[in-house]
Amino acid sequence: MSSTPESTAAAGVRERELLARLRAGEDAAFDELVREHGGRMLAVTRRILGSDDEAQDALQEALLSAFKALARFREGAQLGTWLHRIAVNAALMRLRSTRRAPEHELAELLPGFVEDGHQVREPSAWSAEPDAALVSEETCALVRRCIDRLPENQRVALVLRDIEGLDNEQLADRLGLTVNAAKIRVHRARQALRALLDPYFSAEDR
Amino acid sequence: MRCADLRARARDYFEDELAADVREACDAHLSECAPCGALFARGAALAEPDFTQAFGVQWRSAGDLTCAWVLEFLAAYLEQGLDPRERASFDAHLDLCEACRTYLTQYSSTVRLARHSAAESTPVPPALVEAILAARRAAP
Ligand SMILES: [Zn+2]
Repeated sequence: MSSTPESTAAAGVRERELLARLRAGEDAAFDELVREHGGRMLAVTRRILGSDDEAQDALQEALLSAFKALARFREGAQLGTWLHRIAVNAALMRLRSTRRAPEHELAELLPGFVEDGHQVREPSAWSAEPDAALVSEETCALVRRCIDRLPENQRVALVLRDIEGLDNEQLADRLGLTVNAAKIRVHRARQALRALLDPYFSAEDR
Repeated sequence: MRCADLRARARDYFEDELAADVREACDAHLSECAPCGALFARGAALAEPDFTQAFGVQWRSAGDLTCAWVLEFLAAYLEQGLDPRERASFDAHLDLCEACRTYLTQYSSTVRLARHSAAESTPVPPALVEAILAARRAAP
């Protein structure tokens, strides 16, 4: 994620000061922490959980557990990175406690094949081939909505692998899967997201 | 469980999508049946033609690979996870098959779009900020 214009050194000094005030239990310091880091943490819990309400509950859980763990925060580590990891954990914990019915069956989003191994429906090229560097905020919002519509297992795998940047081994570890199963889950998620995006980008009207 | 029942569940088995009792029945069969055991052990390496055939996918069509095989191993291809022989077959198939080239382009675009579209920050409702701070003050 992008850095602020503020120099790294100055940010480090400010962060150490904030940490000292947090450890001293200063109310205003907690207020500052939530306002400065809450937005990024909420973005993370939101994309993992796919629902505003649950994302907000997870943010609350994440911040309260961060407050309790402040004593264990290692001086020299990045506060933002530490809080980010706590937000991911809180969201994953919440997933395990609330299972929702999927909007789509995964199978209907995967390519089908005829007897000789060809695709049942050949893909038609996407019109304005979406160049990630040039896509509008409107397109980004569309992609986010499609990610929200993925079956839960696939959404979580795709978010952790392709957005949060975990590698296959880390993903397997977080999800309690074998590395192969984790790789396949990400692959299925990308295929399913491709299928959900297809009607919007496809050159031909279907 | 018979061999055919096991092989019909190969995909779900490897994707960890089986119910616990079904998985147990599969494991029991695997421990007793040498051919299935060998097939699944190789399948764990995830690029074996025998295993792909066990999924009901056949080997022919453009080059010596089917579209089904190509689409199954796209992620491995993009992560440089195929061995040189598989990679050469894969490239040969792509040269000949427009449908798979289109799919590959879209698959890559999908990954880039997902990454690029992620919101960096989401505004926290003021009432939630207040609730969190109040909960902290109330905590022992
Ligand atoms: Zn093909």
